[in-house]
Amino acid sequence: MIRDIAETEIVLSAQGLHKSYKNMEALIDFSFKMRAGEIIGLLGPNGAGKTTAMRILSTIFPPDRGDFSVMGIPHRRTEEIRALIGMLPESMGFPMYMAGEEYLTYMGRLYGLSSHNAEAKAWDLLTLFGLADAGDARIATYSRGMRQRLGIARTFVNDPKLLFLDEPTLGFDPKGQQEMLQVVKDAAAVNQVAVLISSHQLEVVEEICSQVLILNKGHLVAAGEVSDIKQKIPASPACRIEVSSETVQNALEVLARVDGVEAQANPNRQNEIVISMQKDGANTVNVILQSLIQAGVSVESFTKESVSLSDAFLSMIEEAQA
Amino acid sequence: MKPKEKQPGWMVVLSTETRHLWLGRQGPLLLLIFSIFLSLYTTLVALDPEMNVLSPRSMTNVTLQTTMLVGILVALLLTANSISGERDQRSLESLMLTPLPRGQIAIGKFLATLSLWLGMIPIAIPYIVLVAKSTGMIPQAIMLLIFLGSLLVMLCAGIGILISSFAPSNLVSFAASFITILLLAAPNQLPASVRDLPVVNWFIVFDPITAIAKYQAGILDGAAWTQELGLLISPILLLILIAALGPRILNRRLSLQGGFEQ
Repeated sequence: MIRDIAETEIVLSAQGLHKSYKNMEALIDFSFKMRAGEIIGLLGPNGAGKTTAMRILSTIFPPDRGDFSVMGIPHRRTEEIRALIGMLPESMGFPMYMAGEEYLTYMGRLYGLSSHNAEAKAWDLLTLFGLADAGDARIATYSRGMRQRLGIARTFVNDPKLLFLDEPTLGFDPKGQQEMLQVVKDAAAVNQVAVLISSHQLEVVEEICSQVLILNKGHLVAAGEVSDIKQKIPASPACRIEVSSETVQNALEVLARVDGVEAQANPNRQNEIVISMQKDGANTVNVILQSLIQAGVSVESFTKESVSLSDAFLSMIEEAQA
Repeated sequence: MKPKEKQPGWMVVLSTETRHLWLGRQGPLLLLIFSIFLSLYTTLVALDPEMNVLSPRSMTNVTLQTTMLVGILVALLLTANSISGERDQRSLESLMLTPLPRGQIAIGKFLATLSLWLGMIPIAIPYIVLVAKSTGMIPQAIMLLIFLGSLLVMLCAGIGILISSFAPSNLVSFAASFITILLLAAPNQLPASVRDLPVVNWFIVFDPITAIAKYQAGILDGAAWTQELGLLISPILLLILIAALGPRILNRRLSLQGGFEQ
């Protein structure tokens, strides 16, 4: 029996999932939980096990070992789970002879909707994903971005409680990408859909996800909130300042006299000085800026650098591979 | 008004696939090719006294066999493409993600294929009538076309769809399906002296295609319908086996990449 989501909040719970292909272990002891309305990023280099994990969780492959449940339904009851989830596979294919509306109606009917309701749902989704004008056209005539929109629209056909999106931003222009991300964010915020999103575009993951899971060679090497993951990277604080061209040399001489600071001109950008600080904090920044202003250096811009998710990801993967 | 009841999943697949088969180019084109083939065959081979060295009854038998063979080939062409075609164009995953039991996907596609055979029967009947008119066996020939033809087409379509379900690609599916059918049909092409050998005769009883051909030849030679009914046991049993076990196997074993491993 499906329990009320408010009662449990846990939409997906996976414990010790394991999958091998012949002699290669694709996923090893993979465990995590997802709550309603949560968007989690699944990261990892190629071959890390992301797609395998998604295909196990969407019941396409059975796990060799381990268990998972979706809204309390154990993974062996695959048909019940499939009724609750939506999945966008990477490089999804379509029956090219069908029109977009016809395809979504067909999918809706396979989820048990009546013809009338499936057709109405299809047009709603086509409108939501900006494909209403092309709804009657054959999928063969769609661009790559349009097919990707159609693929994402298909994941919403059954009003899922849990969405798996494997590389959902492929083929989108920046505007289309933002529109698609907004739909996903709305689904999570308004309809409390839990979303597991795999993408190589880490800025997308950083923008949309509250938590990330990092896989490498089948192992879960890191999991947690994006901010926590970034803090795990031991990076010395740094900032960049841009000064007027005639004061660059003066600024470097001033900064050389500031304790705990190492400054050098950026060879790639004229008038920019990169400063490494031994200690982080507002005090060091204040001393730097005060010294420059007192010496008559004209500061045109100041940027304090922070660790990006991309830095954290690369660092963790390198660490895991070492 | 009473709300319309939801259709079972296999019926949704069946109606969608049938609509595309008939309203798309594929179905009508195959029927056109079938009717052109029968026209040429009947005119040039069956009705030309200079080219026809067989007796009218034998000619009727050969024409029936040829018609059924074309029906089998068309069914194989469609079923061999049915699941592995989806696999090749990467649309199978989307179907497998629906709550529909996977065997029902195959059932819907299998039945859609048979709809084309139902279209081929009325096209073939006038030609069979033309060839069989001098034998006085027109009703028998038509009955054989309908019943044995349907049995053969269902059997071969069933084999085709199972092969397609486990084939990793369309190419493998087509090759394996045609080789299987050729092997099953091969004993029927052996010379009569070889066919009468006890070992071959024993094999023929268990080979569904050859058994049907032998039963058909017997009827056209004047045997009673019940006389060699035993020959139909193997094709009927095989069909029942495929119908009963096929969907169950596919529910559990249909995989994204093909093969038997999940």
